[in-house]
Amino acid sequence: MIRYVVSRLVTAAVMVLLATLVIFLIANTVPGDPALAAMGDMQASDPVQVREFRARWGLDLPLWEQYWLFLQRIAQGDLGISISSRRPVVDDIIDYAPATIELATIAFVLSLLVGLPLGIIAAVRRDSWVDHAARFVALVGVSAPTFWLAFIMLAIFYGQLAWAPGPGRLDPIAFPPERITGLLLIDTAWVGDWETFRDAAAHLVLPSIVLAASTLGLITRTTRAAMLEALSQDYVRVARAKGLLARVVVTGHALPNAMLPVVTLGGLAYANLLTGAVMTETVFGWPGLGRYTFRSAVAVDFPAIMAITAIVAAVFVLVNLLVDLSYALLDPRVVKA
Amino acid sequence: MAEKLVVARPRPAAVRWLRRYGLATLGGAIIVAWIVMAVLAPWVMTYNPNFVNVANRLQPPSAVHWLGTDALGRDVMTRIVYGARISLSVGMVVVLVGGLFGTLLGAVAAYARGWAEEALMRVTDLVFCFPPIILAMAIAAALGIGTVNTVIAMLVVWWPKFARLARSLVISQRSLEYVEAAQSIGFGPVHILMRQIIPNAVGPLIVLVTLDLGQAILVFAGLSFLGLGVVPPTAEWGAMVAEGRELVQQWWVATFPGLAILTVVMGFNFVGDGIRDTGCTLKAMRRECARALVPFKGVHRFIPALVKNAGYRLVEIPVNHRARQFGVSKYGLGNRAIKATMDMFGVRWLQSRGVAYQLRDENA
Repeated sequence: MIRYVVSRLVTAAVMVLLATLVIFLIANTVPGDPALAAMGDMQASDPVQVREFRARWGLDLPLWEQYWLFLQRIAQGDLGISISSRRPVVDDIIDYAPATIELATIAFVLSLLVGLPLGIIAAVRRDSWVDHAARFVALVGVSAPTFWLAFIMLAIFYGQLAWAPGPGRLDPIAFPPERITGLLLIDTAWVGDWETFRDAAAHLVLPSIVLAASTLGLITRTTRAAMLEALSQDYVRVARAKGLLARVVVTGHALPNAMLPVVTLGGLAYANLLTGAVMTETVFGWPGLGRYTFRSAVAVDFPAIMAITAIVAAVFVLVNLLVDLSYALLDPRVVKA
Repeated sequence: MAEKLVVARPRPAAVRWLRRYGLATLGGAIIVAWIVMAVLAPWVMTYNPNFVNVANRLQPPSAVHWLGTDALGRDVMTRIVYGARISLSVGMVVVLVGGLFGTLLGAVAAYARGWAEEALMRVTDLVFCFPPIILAMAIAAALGIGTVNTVIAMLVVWWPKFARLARSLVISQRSLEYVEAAQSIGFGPVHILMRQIIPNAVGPLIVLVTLDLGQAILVFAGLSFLGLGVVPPTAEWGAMVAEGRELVQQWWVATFPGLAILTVVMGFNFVGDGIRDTGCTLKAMRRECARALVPFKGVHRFIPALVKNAGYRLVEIPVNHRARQFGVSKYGLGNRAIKATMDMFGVRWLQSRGVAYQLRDENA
């Protein structure tokens, strides 16, 4: 087992490096000059300043040397200095990541809490109105464009009804708590500042619902399909023939066997939430990684893009690893094989 | 011991048909309607999508402007219909080109085995582990904004899922006997791959293509929403939502383009689910069609099918009444036809008497 984990971790590290190499090559082979993108029009028209700028950021070195520099710095835990914000990328990411982690985790938990039971009930009561309702919800969740859903939610619950607060993580007049983890809910609860806690929680409601929508659809669908498959197996018939309670058959016999595809999908979905909440963050003015990625991509900010790529690849590889390890817990046959 | 066919109230034929094919048909109709509108846009729409009339800005929906006008006084409905042209064609190009490339790559990888397979699949994994939108964003930003560049960016990230699916399909197919048979006849690898394996494995691919068309439209709209898709005056759904994003009071500007995206994506999802429910293979699709006709099966096992066809819902079927595999009956076609007709009359008779159908178990 330990050997397996170690070998997977090594593979993961290689994958992450390769991923950065790929994005490095893409970023360098496509037209688009970071120097011109980062400098103002005035400066960009002066060749001396452009040359200085390139020398300062190492943009005049050959490609492989630039990549080698990047690797050296990454080994020292230094992800470089963002060209557009002129701060170390690590600091930027530490600033932006908690907002995304908080939002993504709550959205993920929300979609699990709703999606799993919905999928199970839909499968158990197949073709009933619950099933149809669940399928409809799942379908709308998968099909609705996130950015549009975000707009609709904001327009209705903020604009019309004024039930929910507007964009952002806190009210503009609220004092942000002292930064401990950067996760507002935890920070405020730690200090015991319940007013700000409530404010932060209220600001989380709409974006997490919007973000949860598509994940919810996927999870409901997968759970339903997997449960239908499991419920049609012989061991379920045996369990029923033994006279076990329907509840025991569903939760004890069918559900554990239906969990594998759900866990796989759930892991991928969580990784996606962590890395790809660009739309939701844009509409809700959420200062998270998605917006940071977007801004760096538009500014052709190489160091930032590379760092984000490395992080994204690492998140995906790690989540995949965790998913594979959880197989062993869920399905004893995996360990034997 | 007597066994009983539990027979419930018949459902009307229309209801049965709707339950089985309703959603898929609805999805197909939505898509066809959008395609027709997109193609006929210049002849159907009376306004010019890019005609700016600031005096007429932000008009609510009315008889003149069915879906209102936007911040520059352009007709929202006209722009939505023109936007369908871009969205649908981008979706098709991305999925067809990306899908074809990925499928070929995956199939070749699975067929080649050895180091070539390893190398190809590792590359696939590499691209696969990026969320498409981030990579597409980086590429779109680097290439510059424009529809063609965005399509290129999406193509770069679109093929891996097809490669993975095609590979797993080919792997599951290549160990089957018909491949061995084709090899022993002396067909070459290309012939076997193209003419034997791919046609047999194509079902799940068709499902993926259908579902993915919706997904591609969604991603493209998302990139446009972020300002990385089309160049501004162009009418495109995602860009239109972005333009109306701040206009909460003038809700129609952003709401209707979003609804357009929603309906198209749902349409593709309906059709994809419908195809998947048939079981994902060409054989199963043919079987599904054959089921709509009167099936010819063994006599006793035939009764449940007939009961079903007559509009009853079978709640429970005793084991010895389960339908057999289609077409494996030992009876000749003529025999089957005669017996089937007899059975059919039998059921009609049962129906007219309105009794629950009972059978004595032969082993009792």
